[in-house]
Amino acid sequence: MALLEVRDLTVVFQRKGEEPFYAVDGVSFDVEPGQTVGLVGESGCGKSVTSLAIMGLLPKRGAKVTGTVSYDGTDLLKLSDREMRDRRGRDLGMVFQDPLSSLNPVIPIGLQVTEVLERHRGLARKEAMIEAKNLLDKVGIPDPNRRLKEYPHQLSGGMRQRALIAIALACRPKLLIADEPTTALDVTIQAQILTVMKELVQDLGTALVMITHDLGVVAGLCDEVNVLYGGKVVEKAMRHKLFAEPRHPYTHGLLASIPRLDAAPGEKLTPIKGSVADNIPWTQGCAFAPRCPNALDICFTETPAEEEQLGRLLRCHNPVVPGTPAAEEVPV
Amino acid sequence: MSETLVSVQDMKVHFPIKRGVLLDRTVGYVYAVDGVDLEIKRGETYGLVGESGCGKSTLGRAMLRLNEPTAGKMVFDGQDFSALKGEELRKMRRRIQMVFQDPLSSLDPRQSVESILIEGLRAHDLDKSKEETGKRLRELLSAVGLPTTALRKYPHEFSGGQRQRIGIARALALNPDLIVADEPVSALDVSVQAQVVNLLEELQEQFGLTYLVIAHDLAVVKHISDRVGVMYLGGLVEEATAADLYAEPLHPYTRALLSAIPVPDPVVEDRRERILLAGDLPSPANPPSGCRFHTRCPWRQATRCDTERPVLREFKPGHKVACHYAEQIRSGEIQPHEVKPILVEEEGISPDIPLVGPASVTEALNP
Amino acid sequence: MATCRAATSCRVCWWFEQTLIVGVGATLIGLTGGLILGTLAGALGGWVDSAVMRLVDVMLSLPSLLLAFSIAAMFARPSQFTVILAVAIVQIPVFARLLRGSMLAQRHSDHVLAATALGVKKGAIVFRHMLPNSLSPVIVQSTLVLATAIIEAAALSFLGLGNPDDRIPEWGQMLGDVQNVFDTHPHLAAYPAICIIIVALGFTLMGETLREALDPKNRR
Ligand SMILES: Nc1ncnc2c1ncn2[C@@H]1O[C@H](COP(=O)(O)OP(=O)(O)OP(=O)(O)O)[C@@H](O)[C@H]1O
Ligand SMILES: Nc1ncnc2c1ncn2[C@@H]1O[C@H](COP(=O)(O)OP(=O)(O)O)[C@@H](O)[C@H]1O
Ligand code: SF4
Ligand code: SF4
Ligand SMILES: [Mg+2]
Ligand SMILES: [Mg+2]
Repeated sequence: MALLEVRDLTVVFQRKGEEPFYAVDGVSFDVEPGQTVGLVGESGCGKSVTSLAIMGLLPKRGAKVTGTVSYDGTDLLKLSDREMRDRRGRDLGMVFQDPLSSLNPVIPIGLQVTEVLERHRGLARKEAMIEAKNLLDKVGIPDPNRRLKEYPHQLSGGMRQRALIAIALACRPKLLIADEPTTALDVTIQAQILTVMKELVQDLGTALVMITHDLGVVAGLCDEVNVLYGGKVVEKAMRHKLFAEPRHPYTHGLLASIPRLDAAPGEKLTPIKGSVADNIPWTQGCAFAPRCPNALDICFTETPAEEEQLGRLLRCHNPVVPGTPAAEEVPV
Repeated sequence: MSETLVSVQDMKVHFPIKRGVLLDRTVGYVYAVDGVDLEIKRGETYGLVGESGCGKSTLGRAMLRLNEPTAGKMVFDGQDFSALKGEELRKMRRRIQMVFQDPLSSLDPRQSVESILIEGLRAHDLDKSKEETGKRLRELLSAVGLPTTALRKYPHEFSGGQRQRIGIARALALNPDLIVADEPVSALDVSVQAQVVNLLEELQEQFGLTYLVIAHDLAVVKHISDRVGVMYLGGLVEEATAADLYAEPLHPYTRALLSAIPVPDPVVEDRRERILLAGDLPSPANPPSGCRFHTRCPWRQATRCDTERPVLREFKPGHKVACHYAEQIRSGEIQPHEVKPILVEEEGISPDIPLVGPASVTEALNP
Repeated sequence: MATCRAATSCRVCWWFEQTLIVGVGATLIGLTGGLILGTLAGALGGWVDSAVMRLVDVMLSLPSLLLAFSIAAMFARPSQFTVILAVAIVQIPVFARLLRGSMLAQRHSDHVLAATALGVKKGAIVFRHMLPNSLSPVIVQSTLVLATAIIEAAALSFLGLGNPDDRIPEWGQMLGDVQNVFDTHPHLAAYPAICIIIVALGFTLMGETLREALDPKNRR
């Protein structure tokens, strides 16, 4: 049994007088210790909602969460608020995209780290201080002794993100969920942070769920990749397989539309046409159908099921076949 | 076709840092742009890359005189654009347009698309007759790939990519020679980015435009540009053709930048050697002495680096670099070494917050 | 006693009209003054901004009632108009500062930069882009100010600086009248108070509706 097993996770937002909105629609994946699982997709495809649902951080009112999230055998969705609070920080750590708004602005960094250490690991103040210093050191913050006394606004974006990772790691959680941890940072800083995260997974055997929109980050970091579209996983494969031969038209289209640093000069990009605004509801067919170059008639009438195809999980009626270009020239 | 359209000469923009409650005192300067020279030829795309806060946007805005430069000038098509005043300046603005990063905030939420597009025409007395204007608007919309029904809608009714198209149409409306695009795709979804990049390329061909494309994403810049300038802390550190820069980066910073960019290919990623830079970008309010990069440079030498600021010099035809030791680094004579990260003091100035003093004493006391 | 009660109820209605005149009048005049000062400061910046804002500081540093009191006392013959004017002047700095703040934010916004880059004339930028997009908070504020204006006007007339004509009653005067019988008939004081709450609430709702109506996101 895997450390984290997410099965059929569904999050429905229901506002009064509005149609229910399926932000996450039957997502399943497993994470083993020492493994990194990626969730990729465009803005609004449900990545953050998935992570919040696992952490039990969605508002109780308005959001309906179904499915199971079993961590080490217990279903997190069935736990009470209190039990969940205990688990967060101790078993589950989370790193958010915006480090400034996830740190408390009026408390020094050091205290924010030691607080967690004292509460969850029962360390005394003195020990906690020493441990906090080690943690900051481990995530690559220079001169940790001094940084411990500083407030979040005195740190740069990269340093704040490291501090946040340090806090998330304070209790040596077995599972870390990182929601776009480097999106707000510069590439040189991103490289530093990703290196830190890679080391964590290798050295401590932490299970990592990496949420990002950047396929480049996924390519370097994740073992297994889940590509999300409109709240559903449309393709799930091991990293080498996914990038070498993307089979879902959406994955294929994404890869063809990214300018690559190592591309030959003059190479054209092939964008996916339209935008997520063109999606049709999943209940009606394939949400991607209006944008899909491979779409068949059946795609507009029948929801594709998640099936084991071509050595991976695919949700598609007409996958990209090796050798044929999927995306045709799209008029802009 | 190699006639110079834009020439920026020793451009500097220093923002004063003001402190004090009753009377503002200038306590220092943010050296956002600190001596940049560059030339853009007619019809080419010049790409400007660098980390956030290195002064790319400020340089672009200073060129358009949306910020007044502290020193230096920009010569546009043989005319000194920086010396123009009043009406003359306003008239000349027609020829230089800008596309902004945030497609929503750069469109006035209270204007319909029609009124957004007409505004520029009206400012330059170009909307002579109703029919002609109508025709022009339809042309513009079809050029950027929007339906004519868009005219009566408001910006909030469009998706991000469509909004950016509106911004591009607005810039095109006046038939400009130069378009400065500040992060034109960084706010867009990956699948939509490519549409806008392709659109920019097609429009360039169709209308013979010259672009200055500013972006932090080197892959995008490399794809779209003919020549690329790399900025670090207010100055250009390297300039070369896009292919040359990628094939043979000379400046240590460019090397680090190139090695840090993730490539969506696990095979490449697994093999890659990363040059990890230590620490953060120093504060532009307190830039390091000598070579601005010396606090983080893995090739840094004991002499010259921290005392003498390297000038941007021609290393080989069409490839300029600002490093004292570029030759030795290239030949391998100097090897990279470990760098201890240095504490960077945040000045408490965020690039996102315009530096505006408190409105009044009462506001300062109880914000 | 019965006549007294009937008279009070009737006077409450009367008062309603008077209060409206004073409250709305004072708010409108204050708003206009504030708009002019705020626009000047926000649009021109530099020394104009500094000068206007220091003036605003001085006005804000005095207790508003005291300021209104002094202004009202400057007039030789108190009348309804002097009350309106006194209350209005007190409101000017509130509006001016609020508008100046949002104008400054607008001045650095991308769409204003875009208009500048298009070569749109400065005046057109201020009145077409900056001002309309800065008004929302001011409109909300004006509904709040209305309630304050009514109370301040009441205070002035309570202190005898209002309209001396006894036939045109105001809240302050009425409170003064009721004072004598407060022990036995406390509810008489409640009437004007309830009215003021209803009026203030009504205007707040109106302001909210107005703001929503002006919001382009609700336009089709
Ligand atoms: N509290 C909420 N109430 C209603 N809808 C919500 C709520 N939170 C999120 N949503 C909707 O759920 C969908 C998925 O949101 P989510 O934040 O997971 O996207 P994401 O994949 O993380 O995107 P991004 O890359 O922009 O962070 C979106 O359409 C969003 O508007
Ligand atoms: N109006 C301003 N006042 C003071 N400092 C500013 C202002 N605008 C930008 N800066 C500073 O100038 C530097 C360069 O900013 P910018 O040109 O926006 O960077 P980039 O576009 O490269 O991310 C930053 O340190 C920023 O904080
Ligand atoms: S199911 Fe049909 S529309 Fe959907 S991705 Fe596959 S081919 Fe395209
Ligand atoms: S001049 Fe010195 S510090 Fe600067 S880039 Fe060259 S080697 Fe590095
Ligand atoms: Mg998200
Ligand atoms: Mg910028």
